[in-house]
Amino acid sequence: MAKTRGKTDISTTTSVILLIAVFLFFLATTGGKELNAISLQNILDASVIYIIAGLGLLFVAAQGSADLSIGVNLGLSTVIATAIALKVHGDWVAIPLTIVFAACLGLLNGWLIGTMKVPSFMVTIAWLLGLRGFIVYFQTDIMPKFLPDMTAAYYQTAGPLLALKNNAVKYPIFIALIVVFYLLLQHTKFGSYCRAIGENELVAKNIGVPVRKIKLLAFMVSGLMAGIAGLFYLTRNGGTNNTVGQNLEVEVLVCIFAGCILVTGGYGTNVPKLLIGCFTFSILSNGIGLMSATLTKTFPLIPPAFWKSVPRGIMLILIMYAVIRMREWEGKRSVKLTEEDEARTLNAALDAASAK
Amino acid sequence: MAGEVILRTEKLNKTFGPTRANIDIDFELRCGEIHGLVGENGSGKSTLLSQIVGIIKSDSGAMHLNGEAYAPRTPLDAYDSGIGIVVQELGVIGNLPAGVNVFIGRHQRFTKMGIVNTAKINEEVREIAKKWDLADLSLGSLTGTMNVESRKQIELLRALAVDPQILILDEITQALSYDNRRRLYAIIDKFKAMGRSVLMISHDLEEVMGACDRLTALRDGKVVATVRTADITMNELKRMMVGRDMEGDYYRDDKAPSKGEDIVLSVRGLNVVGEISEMAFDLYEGEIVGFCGLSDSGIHTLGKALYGLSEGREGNIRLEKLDLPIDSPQAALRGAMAYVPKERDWEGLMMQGSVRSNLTLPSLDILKDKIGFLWTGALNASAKRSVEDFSVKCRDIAQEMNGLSGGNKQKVNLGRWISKELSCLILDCPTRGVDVGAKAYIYQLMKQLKDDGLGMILISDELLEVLGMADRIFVVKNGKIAKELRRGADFTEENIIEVML
Repeated sequence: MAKTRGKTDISTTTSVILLIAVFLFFLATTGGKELNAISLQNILDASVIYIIAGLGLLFVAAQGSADLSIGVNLGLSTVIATAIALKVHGDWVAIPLTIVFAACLGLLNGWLIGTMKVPSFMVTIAWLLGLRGFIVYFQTDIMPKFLPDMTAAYYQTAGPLLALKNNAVKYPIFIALIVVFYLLLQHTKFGSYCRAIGENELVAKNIGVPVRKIKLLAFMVSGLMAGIAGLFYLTRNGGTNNTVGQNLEVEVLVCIFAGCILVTGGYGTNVPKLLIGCFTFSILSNGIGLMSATLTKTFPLIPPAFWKSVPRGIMLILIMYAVIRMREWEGKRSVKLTEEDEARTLNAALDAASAK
Repeated sequence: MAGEVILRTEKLNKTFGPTRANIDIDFELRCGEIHGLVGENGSGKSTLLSQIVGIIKSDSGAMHLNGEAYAPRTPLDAYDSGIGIVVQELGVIGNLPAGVNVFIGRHQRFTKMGIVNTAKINEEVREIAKKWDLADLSLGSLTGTMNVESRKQIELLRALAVDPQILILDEITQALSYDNRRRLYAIIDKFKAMGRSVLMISHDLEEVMGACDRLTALRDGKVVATVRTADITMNELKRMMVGRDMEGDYYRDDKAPSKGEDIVLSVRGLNVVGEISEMAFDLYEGEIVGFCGLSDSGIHTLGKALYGLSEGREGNIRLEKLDLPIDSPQAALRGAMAYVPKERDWEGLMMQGSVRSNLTLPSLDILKDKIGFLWTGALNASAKRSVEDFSVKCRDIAQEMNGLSGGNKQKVNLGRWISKELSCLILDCPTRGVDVGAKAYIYQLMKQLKDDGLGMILISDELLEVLGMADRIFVVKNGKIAKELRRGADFTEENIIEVML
């Protein structure tokens, strides 16, 4: 009965409160270092990647599915982009090919999940495990053979991709992506159908939503955005390595949850929550980094790696706990009915349960 | 002894938060009587039942069973006191075999050294089924794979397994098809003959009036009155429940079939593997075509198949005016067909979604602007209009579906289709689980749509409903159309039952 009371969704306001709380916490514990120019730049840089990858993942998350392949997809895309750019010496070839490749991997996911009915978690986790090996093989065996002169320095000296290093190019593109995908998710039939599938796939199907097609497209969008995020990543880091994109899928998922988007998707899935969640997580990661430096000095016997990971894990658990608590609190607050209305609602819920 | 009070409640109260769901409920159940609890959704009858069977603890008040204090803490206490319960909140465990579910929570008797003897359980279950003349079920199969009707029968068996003095039935008949309903009535009669008692809740007032000796009507958490069914008329009963006069007749009052000139939907050679074979019929404008049949006759599959849904479907379904073959639900949606499924809460509505998102989902193509964008303003306006047009009782359009009563949920379920221009409407048990007020409203709406020239398919387990509303009835048996009846002198329950069984 408890589940029929109040709201099951969480408002965007709640995610903002969480963001502010995390920010203030690190502002206090790092003695204001969180606000210096380097920190802010780092937070923004990390957020940009998370947000771009997250914009695509959102369409999958809205359906209550998961795409755990975006990390390897991003990795493979950047490796391919680098190889093509170096081999044919042309970013203008590399950019579209990379995006197309990433989108195709997404399409393949969508086909396996939508048409072949393999659960999304299984398909994408298989890629996560399988494709990483391919990246390593490509990086360590193939690339040195065919491209012995490959250096990371390439991206610091030439190529149109480098334009993304220029803030006057990077941020307009970034903002345009946000606007486009905001419109696509929240103001088109496609986006609405994605969210309806998350609410109840059977209902969507019974109404005439082309569930298979929508899944195919959503996973394609997710792959596509992983590819675009890869290009941003490449220009920021200036090259690739074996671990490029590792853990990205998990980090973006955490961003989505920190933004108070439900794991089951549905109509509560929106772009503002993603943006807020990405900043919450980036601030947290950056703050932990700053704290770990201090803590390592204070406790020299404990390795720095401990301070970088363990407190982050604990903080994340606290955040997720806060999300759940605030959802309950919101639920209670939203039930502002008159006594009679409430009696009717409750009894109706009971009746509904018995009529099922 | 017959006539003696077996169960009595005294001033039962139940409060949920600031709300009083039950207020000073005094209620008596006598030996050898069939007692009905009636009331609109939200009147408190389910709460009362939950208190009696120990699902909900009362805040104050007392209950007496056979003159002794009775305070069940769990449904198992109720079982031990000789009360057999069929209420949905208890349900069945899907991952257990049917037989095991019958004795769930009471396995000690069959357990030796921690191992449950399933064969012995099944044997005993079969005996109970035989004793009460219930249909055979495959007791070894997992309950989750069975249909709603079989699951209900498992629950009924579980209730009967305690050899109860009191049998409590909450809305069970709605899930049963005609033949199993008759079996249930036979059990109820047996109970009465044995001097035992039955307490039942049903939205089907004809059923309650027919089956019960006495009725207790509840409204807004209070007992309105307890009366003998012989002493009141249907209209008086409705007035007691609703607190105001209801229109006397809610079905159609014309006695002849009527329809428009043109065919809306033509169906030829429709087959669904194992469910429907070689069905063919036409639906005309302004016509209501009813389908009746037993639970396994395939009538519910037909509804799905017509909307392009069922797997393994063959044959031609065609919207004549648009010359559009319906081969997928997408085609059906494009052709402005509408399908209202039987299982409203999990096939029809997004229960955690808002009233607005539920209302607008089938109309997104209409609501988008020229470029293809959906703006909040347009969605809100459309949802608000529907809420007003169909007088849906909700706080606002952002309210979650779950918070609405059964009748209002159904209004949303129907209204979201009717709010747009439709080519035809497929209704599967449209008044299932809704109260009498909402029922009247839905029939009114159907009459109006008929007058506007909409062709409708009405699939229903309730014969009176189909008889009351349809122009033609197809009686379906084993997936085939067995008989066609036209509105008029032939339109009788007997004529349908004769073919259907």
